[in-house]
Amino acid sequence: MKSKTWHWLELVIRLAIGVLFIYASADKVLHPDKFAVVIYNYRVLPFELVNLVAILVPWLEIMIGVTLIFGIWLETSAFLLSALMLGFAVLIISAITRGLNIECGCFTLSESGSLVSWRRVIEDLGLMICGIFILFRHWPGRGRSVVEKTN
Amino acid sequence: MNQTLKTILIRSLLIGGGIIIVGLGFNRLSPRGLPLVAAHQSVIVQGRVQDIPLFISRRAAAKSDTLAGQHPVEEIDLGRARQFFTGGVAIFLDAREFEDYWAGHIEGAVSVPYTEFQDNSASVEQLDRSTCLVTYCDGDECQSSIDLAVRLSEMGFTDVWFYFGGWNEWSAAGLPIVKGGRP
Repeated sequence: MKSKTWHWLELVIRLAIGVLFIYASADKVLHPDKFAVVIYNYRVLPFELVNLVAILVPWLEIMIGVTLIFGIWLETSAFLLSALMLGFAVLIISAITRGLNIECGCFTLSESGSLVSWRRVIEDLGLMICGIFILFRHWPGRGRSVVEKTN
Repeated sequence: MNQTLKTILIRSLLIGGGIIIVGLGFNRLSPRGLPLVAAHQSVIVQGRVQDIPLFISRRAAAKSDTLAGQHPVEEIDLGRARQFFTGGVAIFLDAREFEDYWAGHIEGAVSVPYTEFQDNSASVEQLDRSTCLVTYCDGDECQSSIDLAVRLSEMGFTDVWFYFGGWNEWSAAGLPIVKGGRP
């Protein structure tokens, strides 16, 4: 593929994920109490830490979304995106293997049919791969960002 | 390579700092803001103290603290449950899923599945807050009778009990049960 095609592909992915992340976090920012219950139900964190995570994680998602859309610090936001998605995938897998039939809390809260499932794991891993793709393209020394600056 | 990793690390830390400032700031100003550490209520189950965390906003927590201080949620055994039942003053609330309720429940009990109750508490909203309520589920491994009782207490109900022996103990004792019913 031509580098221009890659460029547009990356832009589309960034915008799509950016919008998705901001949409996904809105519900959590507005209803932190519900999100806290979702986090607690994974039975990974002690309850003393649950509220702090419920307060901060949605803002991490918003921050990743905004930086992806506006193209700010792309290598860092792509790295955070990949790391976060890998983390979520591991959490969901651990919930499934422990036999927990709980709400995923992935995109919206309290939507029926959003329970933890292998489909959610695949979605998260897909997003992680998108993150790695963006990270790869913005890794300095690969020439692309230099080329872009001279354009 | 190293330079890039360093850049990512530094920028991640900066983003992290930004998130902490914005997130905690928003949480502070929002009417739905959470306390940084979840409040919890201690209940005694079969002689052991259990902490039930309450994931509620600061405002709701401020309200329920005073209530919880006055009216601790307490466990009752089969004997007490029977007294409540024959006395006829208490309303028994079945915290299990509706299918379980349908398959058999304590006579006169109302189905209030805890999983749905978390999102919609309309079924008990119109009740007088001084109504005597007894929650139960399967017993033993089942936590939702306790969780439901604690949430009811948060809502302002002042006479809440949980019957931990639950359906298993009640039906094994040959006490009155009913099958079927409405959600």
